[in-house]
Amino acid sequence: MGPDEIIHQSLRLKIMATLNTLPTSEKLEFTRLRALLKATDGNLGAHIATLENAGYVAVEKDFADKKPRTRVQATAAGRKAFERHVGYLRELIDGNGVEG
Amino acid sequence: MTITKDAAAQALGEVEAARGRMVEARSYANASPFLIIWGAVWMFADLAIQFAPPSLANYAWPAGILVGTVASIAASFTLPRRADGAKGWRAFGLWGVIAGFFVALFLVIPVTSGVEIHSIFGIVFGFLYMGFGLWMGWRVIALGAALVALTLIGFYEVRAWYGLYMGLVSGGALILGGLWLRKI
Repeated sequence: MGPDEIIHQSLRLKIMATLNTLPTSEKLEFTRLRALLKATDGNLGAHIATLENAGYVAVEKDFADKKPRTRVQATAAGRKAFERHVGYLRELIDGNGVEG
Repeated sequence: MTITKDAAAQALGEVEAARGRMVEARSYANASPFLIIWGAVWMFADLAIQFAPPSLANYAWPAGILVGTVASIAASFTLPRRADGAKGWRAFGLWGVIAGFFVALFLVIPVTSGVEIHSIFGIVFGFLYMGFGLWMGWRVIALGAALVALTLIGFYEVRAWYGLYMGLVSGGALILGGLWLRKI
């Protein structure tokens, strides 16, 4: 088992950790995620697009109170990949994994 | 791709920090509507005590508690369902524990004025918030500390206009606190 190169990037790892904390049916607004991670619009948007292309998050755009709203949710595949990657990191620290 | 042990440890630290922030934000968001509801009840009831005729003012808090309880139950249904739904009953049980505490307290400690009873409520709830804040986050601790401080200031310094003071300042503090918790 190796590292997940998509998830391991620092901001993407934080995005997945944040979304993975939510119940499976819950979505998080982009603006709230941005505030929690203290990220910029462009940076966060680019990394979410990478995760979306990998099938790790689902992005939903709609209107709430006549204002555009973007919500993000970790997919089942994303949750599995995240748990696998965290498991890999833990094994590496415990000395059971292979660096590299 | 090469990941050293140090990099792995740093990454896991980032994961835990991100999880912690999310858990704290959810706790704040869940608590927010209840603080706003009870701040509004507090404001309404205390202003009624200050300005309404005594025959009506006596019903202000019982009516406020009834409305606040119904509104809180309604608000609880808007929260995301927990996977362990059975634990939600503990929140309702907590109200019973708190009510029982106050009944027992006033059976033992004689109070001679509404100001004293009211101040005890403000102080106890302020410290309860501080206690909850140990799990929920520093903003709830700050809110509880503010409630205790404002109650003590009202008790010692604003006796003549206590209802007006507590309604506007303490009720207002809860409402503003509830709005503040949403700002994350």
